[in-house]
Amino acid sequence: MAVSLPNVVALATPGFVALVALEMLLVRRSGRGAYDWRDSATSLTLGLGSTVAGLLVGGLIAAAYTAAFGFRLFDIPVAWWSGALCFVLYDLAYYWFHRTAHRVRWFWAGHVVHHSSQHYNLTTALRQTWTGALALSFVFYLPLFVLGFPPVLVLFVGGLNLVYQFWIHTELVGRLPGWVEAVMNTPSHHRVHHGSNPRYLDRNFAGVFIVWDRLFGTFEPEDDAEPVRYGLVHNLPGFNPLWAAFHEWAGIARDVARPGSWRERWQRLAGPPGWGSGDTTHAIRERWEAENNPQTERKLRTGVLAE
Amino acid sequence: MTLFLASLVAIALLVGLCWALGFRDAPVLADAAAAERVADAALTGFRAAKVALAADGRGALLKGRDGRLVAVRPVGDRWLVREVSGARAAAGRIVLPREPGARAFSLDLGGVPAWL
Repeated sequence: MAVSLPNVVALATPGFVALVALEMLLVRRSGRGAYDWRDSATSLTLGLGSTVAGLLVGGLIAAAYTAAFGFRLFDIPVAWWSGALCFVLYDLAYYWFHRTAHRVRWFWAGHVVHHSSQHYNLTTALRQTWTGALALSFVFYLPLFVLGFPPVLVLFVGGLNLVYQFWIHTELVGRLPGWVEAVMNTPSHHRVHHGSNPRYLDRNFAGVFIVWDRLFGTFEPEDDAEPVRYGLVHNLPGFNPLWAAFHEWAGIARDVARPGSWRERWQRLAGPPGWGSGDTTHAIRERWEAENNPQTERKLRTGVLAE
Repeated sequence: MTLFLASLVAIALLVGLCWALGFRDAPVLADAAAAERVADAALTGFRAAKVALAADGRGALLKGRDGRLVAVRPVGDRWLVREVSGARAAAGRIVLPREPGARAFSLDLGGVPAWL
């Protein structure tokens, strides 16, 4: 008999709406955190559009998952233990998807939408891509199907993963007890991830468990002495949701069409964001370190740390 | 379709609540130093040599020590910082090049700075 599991994102959506309204009231009352009605309108519109886009391409992605499941190595049943294992492995896959989405421009073109707000609140959590399938984000989860986790189970834990990530998009929650901050992705850790400060760029890629960042060397704690500046290195000039959804794809098309060798064109497509303008995370962080640490600057001058 | 319409209604209600709660500020630069701080934070390593502040504090034009021309202008209740080329004077205002996805924007600097 086929097992059916609930669509947790659909079940959680009324809660999302209620929590956004509650957060607005609490931000107004406490003065902690920030909202802008134009920014929230864009975020919520992008969220709705993302759902529509998901419905349009869901069949193609389901076909890819089903095909991968056809090559499964094991027959894993739907059970509590397989659900727990799948949840952890899904989060590991999410970490690598997310890290790649920040380091490779093609993947970034889909993910940049989520970072395009200069605010950090619960509506930012709903500011989601319309072009995730085009950006190939689904390929990172194919190994789970090849291992033999049933599609219904992977989709279920994927929903749980997404729902978990909703509540961490807030400035209202400070730091949580030590063990929580040590193991779980928290509002504090994820604020860092949304920062455009050189110190915070491309850090804390975790979905649910921050241990992946600690393990793979991408963890950065929130520093109270350096408030997070939310948004992009090059922020959007307005609130047009269409431009927010497609601007990086337009940038890729423009840059690939520019004169240059094929290797250069490939780098504009698959290199790190900012490759053509010298504004990669690596370059920005080196400039910042040179400014803030004269010893590093001297090393730079002598070429020891040449990129 | 019902779910889609319900989602549109929910969005309208949340945006309306946001507006009604007063989250519709327009930022103002108090002085040239504030403009420098905003530009420096957004462009790592940028140091201003000259600053022209808009008469109403709703933006600024800065010339860097390295010769870069940088505009600071509002987007909602936040600032947008851009290196600009092709800024021009028209009717006593400095008109910034129009970007895709944004409306045209100009600054009233009380005249054209000599260094522009």
